[in-house]
Amino acid sequence: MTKKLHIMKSINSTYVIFRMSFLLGLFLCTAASGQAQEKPTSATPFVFGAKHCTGCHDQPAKQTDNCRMVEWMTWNHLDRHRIAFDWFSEAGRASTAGKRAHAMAENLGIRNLATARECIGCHAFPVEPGTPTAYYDNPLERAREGVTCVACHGGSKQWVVEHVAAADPAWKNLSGQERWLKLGMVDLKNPVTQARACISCHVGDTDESKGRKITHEIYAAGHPPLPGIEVAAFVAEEPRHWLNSSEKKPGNRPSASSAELLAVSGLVTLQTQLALFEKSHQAHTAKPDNGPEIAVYDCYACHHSLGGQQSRWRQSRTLTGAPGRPRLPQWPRVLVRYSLITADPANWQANEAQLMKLLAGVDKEIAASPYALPSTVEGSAFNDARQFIAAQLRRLEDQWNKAGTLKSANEKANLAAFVQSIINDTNSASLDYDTARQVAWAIRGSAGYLSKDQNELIREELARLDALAGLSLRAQKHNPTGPPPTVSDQQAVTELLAQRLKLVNQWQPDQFRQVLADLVKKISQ
Amino acid sequence: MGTLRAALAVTACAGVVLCILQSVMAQEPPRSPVSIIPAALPVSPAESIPDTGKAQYTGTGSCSAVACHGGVGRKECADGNGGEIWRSEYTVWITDDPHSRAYSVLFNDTAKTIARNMAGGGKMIEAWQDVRCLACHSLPRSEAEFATTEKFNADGVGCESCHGPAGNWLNEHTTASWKLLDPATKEQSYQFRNTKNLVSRTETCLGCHLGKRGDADLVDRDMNHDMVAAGHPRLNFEMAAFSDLHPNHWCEKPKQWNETGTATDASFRNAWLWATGKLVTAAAGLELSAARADSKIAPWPEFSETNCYSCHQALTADPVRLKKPGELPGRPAWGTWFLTGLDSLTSEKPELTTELDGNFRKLMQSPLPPRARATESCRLLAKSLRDLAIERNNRGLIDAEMQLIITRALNQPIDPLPKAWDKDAQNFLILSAMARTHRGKYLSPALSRQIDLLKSRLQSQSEVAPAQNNSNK
Repeated sequence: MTKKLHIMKSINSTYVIFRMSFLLGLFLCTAASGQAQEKPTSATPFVFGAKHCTGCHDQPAKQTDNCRMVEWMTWNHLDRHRIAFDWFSEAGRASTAGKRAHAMAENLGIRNLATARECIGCHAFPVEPGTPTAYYDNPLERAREGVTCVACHGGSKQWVVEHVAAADPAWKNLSGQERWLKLGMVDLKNPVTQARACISCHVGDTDESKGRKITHEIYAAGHPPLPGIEVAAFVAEEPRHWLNSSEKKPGNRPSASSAELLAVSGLVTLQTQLALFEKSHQAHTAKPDNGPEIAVYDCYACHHSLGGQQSRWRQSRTLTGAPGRPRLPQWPRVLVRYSLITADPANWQANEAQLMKLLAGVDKEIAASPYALPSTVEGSAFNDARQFIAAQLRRLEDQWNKAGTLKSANEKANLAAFVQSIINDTNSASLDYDTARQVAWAIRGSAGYLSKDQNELIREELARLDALAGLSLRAQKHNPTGPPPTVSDQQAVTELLAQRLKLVNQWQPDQFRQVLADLVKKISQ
Repeated sequence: MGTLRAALAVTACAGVVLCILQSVMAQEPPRSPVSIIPAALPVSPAESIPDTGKAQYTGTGSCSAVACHGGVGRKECADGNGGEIWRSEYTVWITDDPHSRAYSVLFNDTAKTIARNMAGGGKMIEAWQDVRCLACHSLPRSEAEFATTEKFNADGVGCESCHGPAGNWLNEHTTASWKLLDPATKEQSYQFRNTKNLVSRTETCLGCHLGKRGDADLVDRDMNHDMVAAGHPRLNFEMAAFSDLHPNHWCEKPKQWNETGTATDASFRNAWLWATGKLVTAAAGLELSAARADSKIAPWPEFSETNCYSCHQALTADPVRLKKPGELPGRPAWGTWFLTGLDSLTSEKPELTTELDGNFRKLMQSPLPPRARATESCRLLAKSLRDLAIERNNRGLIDAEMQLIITRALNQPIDPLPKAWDKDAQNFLILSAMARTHRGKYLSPALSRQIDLLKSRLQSQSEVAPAQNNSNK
């Protein structure tokens, strides 16, 4: 209880500054959004540095049957989310990534990165429009800590205060949904919600109030291209500060497994991608002078070098719709099959055929003319695809909320069959770099479900896939007992970027297909 | 010549068939500085003027008789007032001119790839059956004529592609009275195109080498970004260089380069072709943009009008380049080849330069320029540029002006590649044109050095040059 009071006091001291600014005539706009009914009813938005979580979440001795109590340390010492803002600071200016950030700010006409909503939405935490800058851009709040706890877990005052009494049945018995709807705590145990939380930054978010929309102007000013994300692979590489289901005592709410995240990753990404596309075109229709938002298209549809043997593969692909038009990124599609298998194991083939037909229709509508806005009326491929995807995701979400798992009796067999089938399909599909990376991550992720012998068997091919597609998200291993990530890790981030773009630019799908063929041969032996 | 060939490898798909069929007449055609239609016709064969409402094509076979244009041998042309009939025009075309192979390339592997990709997963039309391809790879005709005169396809780009439908003048052009007509009358009354005047000659070439939409008698000739993406080489044209590469089948008649007859020496051809060609190309480029913007079916924006490298650049982790003041990040550079290198020709009309670099460019450089505004603005500027082209062509180039053009081109700042490729290419072409003018009169050490520098810059980018995959003969 003392802890609860302490937390409240700490919050309140910050809140005073906010209130003062508020009284000075500034006010908060509550974001009007189409998703209003899904939003918590009584969550007070506020900004909250990780310092408020130390004191509890840095006490390994106090581990409970549900919580490791080392979350702050793991994040602070190992997690690169921790340094997401460092590039913006004066101290980080000297590093390669820091130079990039400040040059970008100059190109974009941003004077203070710490208060630029469109930057800190992802590099720290989302700030609602109209929030007085003094409230979050101050040393007390330590906004400069990067992507802190509340960026993912929810920036709501209510849950932070309530969860302190973790043993209290009033808290303990709340379901994940209730915690979100009543108190504004994001249910990160639910794989769909977790994927959405990651994708909100790693792909984008249609909720304007979050400032998580990357634009082509931002890219052109110098932002590195966002890599395709496969949630299970990204989560697997994130220094884990939570307990896996198997590590928890029975009776505690389970965490999503790698296979469960794999099952939602593609579908959630696809849903977000189409929503962002529609939103950006609505904005263009409202203000035509601004032009269409180019960032919603596949970067590499245009950004590739011309001529020579190296790009010949591009013209040997079979694409739907007129050539030479901006296209949607295709990579989220390759994993959708597993989502459909998981959502409805009996009917996934029919569902997949229907969805792929709809997506081909979407491609055609989008390629009807450069920057074409697909029809959103009932019966259009774009509209129907969105509805279809939403229905499938609802199914997965309901399944999780009801059973606390997406696992079927045949999970292992399903996963193996899925991986085998996408390996076979890549011979005909348009295998661009990001799509191949999805495939490789799925293979690597599913290897965890194989026997030790099988794992040993495919070790060599996995290394070859890694060399071609660059599967690792970390340039170097962090030392768990070493100092927190610093400028030297920013250097590593830049090197990783250079490595990835080099692989993209020298991409040859046939080399990748060869490894897959070898893999098939080995497995079938 | 070898230098030029190397650097033009990216652009040289074909030259243009041009013949000058009549000999010099003792009597010069009447001239007017304003109108290209003469006040009175010296001879009036009214009864023999056919109905010009319908094109009547006869095919190259009607030209190729040994006694007409199918003879052998070439003429050595003098620099003065030439114009002798070679009688071997057809033979030169069929043996040396790549235009005669324009149709057969539609059967090669590149054409197959393009046809496959143009189908976009739908029903494929073979390139040699697709009017979009045949529009320039054979005799340009109307949609209806394509259906009824399929037999002419195999001729490729033959005599009538440039000289006009011969059915309207085939008989007359063998008579004595034909020689009394001036080129403008032949065009007006007989659809025998005026290929002597450098403005209309350039426009003839540009119909395919840049493209033309909205011609009432012809299908649209529009090699757009769809086709480039499908595998077609990008277009890039400059009149002097293309004319140099083209195997001539005529002797130049400088007095007919313009309406005022101020040119007397054919050795100035390159400089004239460059200057007139540049302005006419700019006007035709804008006219095509306007037609595309105005069309209900043409893709818009048309990406082939922008600098390839604006978008087609591999992404790297290189340090961020700081933008120049006023530059908007992420906007492709528009009109880089057909509007580059104009400044020394438009300097006498400052309002034109201001418009081209000011609001107009801002409009066209937005990612999706509104169709109506783009149509109107492009059309307006196209007209100003065409008027200027006619005015300047009639005035002709004087020595001091050529020196000035060279000085300007030599003093162009060198920008980083590959984005400066279009600019480098146009600069290279102007300097080459000048270097090859009047038997090397303007060739200086500085000029040679700059040509070599630009050549090496263009070649260093050859791996990523916009139309490198063009090697089909």
